[in-house]
Amino acid sequence: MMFLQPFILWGLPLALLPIAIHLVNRMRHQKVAWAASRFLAAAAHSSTRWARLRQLLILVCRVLLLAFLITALAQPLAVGGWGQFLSGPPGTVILLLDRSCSMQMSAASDGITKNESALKLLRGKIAEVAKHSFVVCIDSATQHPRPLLDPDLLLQNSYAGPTETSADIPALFQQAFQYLLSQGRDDAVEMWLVSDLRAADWQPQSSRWKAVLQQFEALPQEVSVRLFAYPSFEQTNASVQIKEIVNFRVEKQTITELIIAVKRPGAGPITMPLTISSNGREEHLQLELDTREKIVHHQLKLNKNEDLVLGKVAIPVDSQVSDNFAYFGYDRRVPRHTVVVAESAEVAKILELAAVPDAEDISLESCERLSALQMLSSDLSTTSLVVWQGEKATPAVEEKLRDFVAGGGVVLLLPPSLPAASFSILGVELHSLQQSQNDRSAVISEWDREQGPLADTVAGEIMPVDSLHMFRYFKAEGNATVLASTSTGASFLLAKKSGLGSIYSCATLPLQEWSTLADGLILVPLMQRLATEGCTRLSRITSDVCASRERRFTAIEMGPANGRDGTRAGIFRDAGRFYVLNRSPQEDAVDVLDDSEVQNLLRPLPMHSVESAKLEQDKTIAAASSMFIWLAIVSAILEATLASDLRKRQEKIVR
Amino acid sequence: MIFAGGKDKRQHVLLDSQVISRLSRLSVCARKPLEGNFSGRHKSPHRGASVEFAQYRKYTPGEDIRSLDWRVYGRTDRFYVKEFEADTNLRAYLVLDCSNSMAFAGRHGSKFGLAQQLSAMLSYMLISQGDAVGLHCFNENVLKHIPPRTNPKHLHALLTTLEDLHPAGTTDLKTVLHELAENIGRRALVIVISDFFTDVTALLDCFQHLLHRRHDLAVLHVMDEAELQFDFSRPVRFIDLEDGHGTLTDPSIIKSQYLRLMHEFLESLRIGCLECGADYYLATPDAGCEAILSNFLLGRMQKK
Repeated sequence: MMFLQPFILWGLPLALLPIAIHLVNRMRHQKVAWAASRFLAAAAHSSTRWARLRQLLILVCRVLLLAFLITALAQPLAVGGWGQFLSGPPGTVILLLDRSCSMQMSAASDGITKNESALKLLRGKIAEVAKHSFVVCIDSATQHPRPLLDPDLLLQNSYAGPTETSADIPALFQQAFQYLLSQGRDDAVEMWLVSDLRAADWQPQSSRWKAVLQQFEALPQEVSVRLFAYPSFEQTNASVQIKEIVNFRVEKQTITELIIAVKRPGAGPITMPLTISSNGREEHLQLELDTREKIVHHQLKLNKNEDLVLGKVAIPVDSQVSDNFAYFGYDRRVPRHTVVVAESAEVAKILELAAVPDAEDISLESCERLSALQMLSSDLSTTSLVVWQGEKATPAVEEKLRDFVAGGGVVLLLPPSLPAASFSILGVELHSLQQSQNDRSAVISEWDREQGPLADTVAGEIMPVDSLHMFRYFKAEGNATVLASTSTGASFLLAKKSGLGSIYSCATLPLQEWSTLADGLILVPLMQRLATEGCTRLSRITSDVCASRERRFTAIEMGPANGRDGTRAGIFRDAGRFYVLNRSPQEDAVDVLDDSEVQNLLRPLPMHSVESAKLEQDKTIAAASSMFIWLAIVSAILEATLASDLRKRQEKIVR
Repeated sequence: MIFAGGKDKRQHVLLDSQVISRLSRLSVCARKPLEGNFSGRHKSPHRGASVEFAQYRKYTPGEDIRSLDWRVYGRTDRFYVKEFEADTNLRAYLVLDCSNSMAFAGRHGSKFGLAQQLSAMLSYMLISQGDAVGLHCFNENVLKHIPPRTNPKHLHALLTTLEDLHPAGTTDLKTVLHELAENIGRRALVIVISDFFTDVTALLDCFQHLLHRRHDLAVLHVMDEAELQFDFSRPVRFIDLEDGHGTLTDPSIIKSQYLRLMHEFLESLRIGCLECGADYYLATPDAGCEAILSNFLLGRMQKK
């Protein structure tokens, strides 16, 4: 059995106090001159076995009462439920550490973060449990099992400290399972899970839970969970996030605009300072906030020769420091070049216009029309987007396009304009040409508004996808994701990831007899977004969310010294590229699971205790302590009953 | 007021004047006809010249004609003699247990002290009301026997003897009481004051013997509260007062059994006394001499 306050067990000999008192009393007996000795002798002789037994039981009850109370005060850890706590400590303890960004929240009263509080709490507990069990730590950032031989390492090592990453709790459990499988042991296992129970990290709807819990059930050893929960949320927390950086030309001037989202607590108008640092310069703004969230468009003041922008936005520090700043980076010199290969000249023209809507802005955007043969021999290394319409693709062309996509480029496939039974390229097949009947065109009813080229704008404006009418369209098939479809289930746009890039296929053409795509409402933003996606690989800057990396960054431009492993927000450099890392947007979602939801989610695994470690106090609820307290109460009742019964008999006789 | 008597004017501490004055309206009564030397307030088994009418009897020629009831003759033409109750004085024996077991002392004094006080008070009251009182002290042997007398000087002797007595030795109630039953000639009031730590059956046999000899028997059972309650919390080594034997025991273990045995003893003695016609009174030092005497005297007056 393990104990949280083992030093209290040194008091267990106190349980023998009743016996000691009894023996001392016997030794310190009083001498009484007595006349009625014949009754004494007769009583002593005939004193029933039950009376002696009762006295012994009373003594035993008193000893047990003290022993149970002392044991309860020592806070024993119940292993795997009531029936198993007597079976001894587990062979292995796996510490699953949620190091997500939200664990950096601190209490207003003492400023200690959840992460620090958890590590402090665990240090003592692990020191005790390590005497009997093998302790392994798996953190949410690196997902790498590490034996924990010295509990002090928990406070010192970077693999337990704060990060700006998100936690994938189902994956953490999966890692734990993989570790147990690799060890091949069959002794009892206890998993200590430290988390703030954010729903975004726990993903309670994920189908992975069922699979991973079934895996645990299939293990030969008993596995149980002990949860250290930090679900509380400070209502005073404000956050800032970079939504997007856009670059555009206004009157021959290139403008780089930051789109910043600021969230604030409470209601009512407030003023919040915002600091924007870029390329060593600082700008201070005063934001007037009268809603919970505000989108700020800020144009950066940059010099003409500044083509690389690296910076940070910050709001005043509050209970969670990690969401009070965000980094940004933008490469203004990234060309956005589109290659159009089309069998229809008319389609090619429309596509060219959609690719470069501003003919004057050729420094940033360009488009060229090539034949299939020309494309085969051209250098696509600086091309963002290849639009392939209708042309038959030779194996060589397919291979070139495949390499282009694998390297991060984007390909948009459009069907042939001439009658054809089908059109197949890069694993996408367009077949069975559909023709609308009686002027009833196909209208898009569903599309992905969250991500992809048809997603809502940063400002929340909805793309007018439902305004598109298709008169002719192919049925599109392939191992791809449908991004937009009609009410009859016909696909308009499919997407498929391949390597670092993507392949999109459109079921219709921007021709009058095919669809209203040529009006540009959808085609232009679609082309722009696909080109932007394709030119990401050409940028000197990669923006991403914080996550552990195999290879460390070589240098830190902005950010904490321990961020080179990718788990901290900041701007880092590696092999000539800049990496701008920020916390994941899902870390701003504050929904938490309650204890019952967690227990239901982990149901097959016995959860013998949940420690609700609030920010204000470290309150431990140990099921085993309760059991010992109940045992002590039972002992006390039994002792009182036996002693009372004895007294009643004696009083009855006296009366 | 302390009583003093005798040539040496010895102060008798056993008598409490206030108690005596409070009990002055009560008297020691005999429940049965007794045989005294003088006329007194108690009923005699014989007929005598008292004011209390007893019965009519036919006249026997030769009897004193002064005893004829002429009114009855006038009505019946027959000669009848009116007989009256004979009153006599009481002869009382105070039988006092002086064994070591009576030396047990509780919070309110020793049993022997109570017995001495009761004996002294009863002696005074009996002599005050013109009755004769004697003292019979014993342990395993008879220590002292003072025949009953009525004169005040005799009271002094009784009180002096009582005061000089100390409990010692063991008890042989059976032999002493049987001998007493044989040796007391005429009917008397026998008041036995003891803790009666002996075989109850044998004891009742002694009582039967006394009652068979037509004595009026009163039993004052002296017990201490401690012996009755057995209220000990810690282990105790009980040292027997008579034989000096020590017994180490945990009272809490044997208490139930002890109390049960004590209860059985008291009940068997009480019921035995009731059945054989002896008066039984339990006397404990905590009750106080006055209350015990009051209870005793009133009880006997009611049962008369």
